[in-house]
Amino acid sequence: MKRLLFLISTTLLLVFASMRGAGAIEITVLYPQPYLYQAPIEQIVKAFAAKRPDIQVKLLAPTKSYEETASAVLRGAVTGSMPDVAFNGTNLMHLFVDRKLAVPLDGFVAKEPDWDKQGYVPGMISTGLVNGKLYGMPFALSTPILYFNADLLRKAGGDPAQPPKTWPELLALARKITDAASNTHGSYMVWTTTGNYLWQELLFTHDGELLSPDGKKVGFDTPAGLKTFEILRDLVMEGGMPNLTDEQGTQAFIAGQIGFYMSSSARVNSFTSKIGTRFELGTAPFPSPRPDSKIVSGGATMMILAKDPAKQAAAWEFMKFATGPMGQTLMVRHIGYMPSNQIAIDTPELLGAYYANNPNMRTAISQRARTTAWLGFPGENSLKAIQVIYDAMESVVVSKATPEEALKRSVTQVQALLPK
Amino acid sequence: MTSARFARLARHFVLVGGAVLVLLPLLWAIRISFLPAEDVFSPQFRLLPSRWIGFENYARALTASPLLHFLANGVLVCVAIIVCQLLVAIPCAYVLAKARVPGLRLIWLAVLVALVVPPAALALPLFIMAAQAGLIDTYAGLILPWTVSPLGIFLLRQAFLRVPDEMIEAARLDGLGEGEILVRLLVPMISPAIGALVIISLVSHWNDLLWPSVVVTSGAKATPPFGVMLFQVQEIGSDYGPLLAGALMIAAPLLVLFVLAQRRFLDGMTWLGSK
Repeated sequence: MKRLLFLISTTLLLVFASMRGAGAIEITVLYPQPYLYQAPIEQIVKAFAAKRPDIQVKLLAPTKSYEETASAVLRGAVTGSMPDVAFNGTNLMHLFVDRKLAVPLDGFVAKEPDWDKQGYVPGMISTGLVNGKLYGMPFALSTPILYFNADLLRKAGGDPAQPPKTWPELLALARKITDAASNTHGSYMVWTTTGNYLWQELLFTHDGELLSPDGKKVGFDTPAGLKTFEILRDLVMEGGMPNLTDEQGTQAFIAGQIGFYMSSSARVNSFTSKIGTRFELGTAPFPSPRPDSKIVSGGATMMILAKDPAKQAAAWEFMKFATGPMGQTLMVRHIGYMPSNQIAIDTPELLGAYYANNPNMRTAISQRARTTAWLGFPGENSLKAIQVIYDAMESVVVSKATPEEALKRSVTQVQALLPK
Repeated sequence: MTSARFARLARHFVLVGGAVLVLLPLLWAIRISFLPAEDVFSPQFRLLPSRWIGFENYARALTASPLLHFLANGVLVCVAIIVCQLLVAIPCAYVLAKARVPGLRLIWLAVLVALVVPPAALALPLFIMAAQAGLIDTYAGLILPWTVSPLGIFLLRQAFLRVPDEMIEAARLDGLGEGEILVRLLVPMISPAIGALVIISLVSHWNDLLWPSVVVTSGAKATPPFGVMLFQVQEIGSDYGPLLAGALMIAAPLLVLFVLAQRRFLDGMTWLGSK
């Protein structure tokens, strides 16, 4: 009798224990800029819960910006309370990789049975590589594009259906648009964008490199590096670029006072609503010397930070869903960033019809095969190095330094800030 | 017109001009909160919006994030902080002002040093302490670091110093105990200083974003500034209509409270002056 009771109770205990073990796994997710990402991410979490009820995704309170998400993760590393998945800025990935917080994803990719059939665009996946290894999956990327005021372009004799493709063409038209009497400026580039985004675009479209192959020396001490500052100077001298802050320049473009405006494709939706019917907005690929020049791409990249293997596996499933056809369709419908999934773009029910009806949204994705990652400087002085480039650009824009001087100074100073 | 009248008119003119200048940002914010998105950056200045959108921006600010819940959290946290600050500061300031105990100078020096250190510098050590104590994402974590207010102790000590010793002696002779003296006699006497402390503390903790963003990880404990933060977008440019609508809704309770407390303030001043 006693033995029977013992057997029954042990069996019950074992069943109970195994039931507890097979319960839902919970993973925590942290993301920035709720204005952009809250709606699509919440929808993705709901859709994912329907598909995988055994994985529970808990969304933590979003932060204001990519930098604040990175800070929150680093704080969590100190107190042992990191989120399991974080949406990181593409140029900030190395912060987690250097501190060995990010989980490498190559192992997970290798175990996937048909990875190349899942529709991931190789050019965009490359934005998740750090030191040649995959650490992040792109969730919402943008690239710099050319916005233009079609009305001003027509008045200067240009054709909105054939926007300028190279810098000489753009500068010639911009000069015609600039008119002091009506307070109209030919061009404006948001060179102040965080992380030297536009500067890296100028560098990479001219086949420049940020760092040397071994990653220890500056790589832009080249004609391509010089070209970046020359273009800035030309924009000011010939293209009529005013010395304004991002806010002021964007305001001026929305008000119809600027002909060509260069910035991230992320602003298309916001511009469309803020410009309204004031003028006709057009978009075009960023000017580059060749149609196949590399272009920079950045935005939100998903990274796994969990230490527990079960949570890592669950996080990987969530990431695959969010960056897969369903997740990317939800993301694009809400905020119009570039999808990293080809299946989403090709399937008519998913995004095919969306792009057919929104020509201005197509510009960004037309560039996606050429994308290369938006990079951050390695080491502890990364932010200082970004500031050095920023100061060099500013000195050219306000005509305090020639492009040669700006290049020389930035090369020397950044070299001093790189890790030895 | 007599010169006295002219002088009075000129005074009014200058004061009204100054008031308008100070209020102008607020009025501007109210104007933008009623503008549709395409009007915010229009090149021609228009006093009225091109199309009337009613309270659409306010509705968006209220529904995009649980703003009312944040406001409720803000009330809870601020009231708790102020109550704790008063409970600590009043006895502390009284002792520092009136007691004759050795070592008080050292304590007073410590209060002055604490006054000078900016709160942002303490954010990281406080965060680690809170994490070790398990106070991350709790109301206690939001409230505890601010319960001892060096500014409060400073203000109230100065107020207590102005109370003549004879009054306290007389009260003691009348047979009142120390606690009774403090609560029934002195606190009403320094109520303007207490009012000033309450207002300063309320405004700074109501609008504080730094500490809550360090300590709060889930939306349930978020405080009012989180509601405004939603509309500040680094990547595409902020959405100013709902942003300012949200900011005004967050500032409104403080404004109302200040207008109500202002009368008490003035009453306190007149009473003090008439003695």
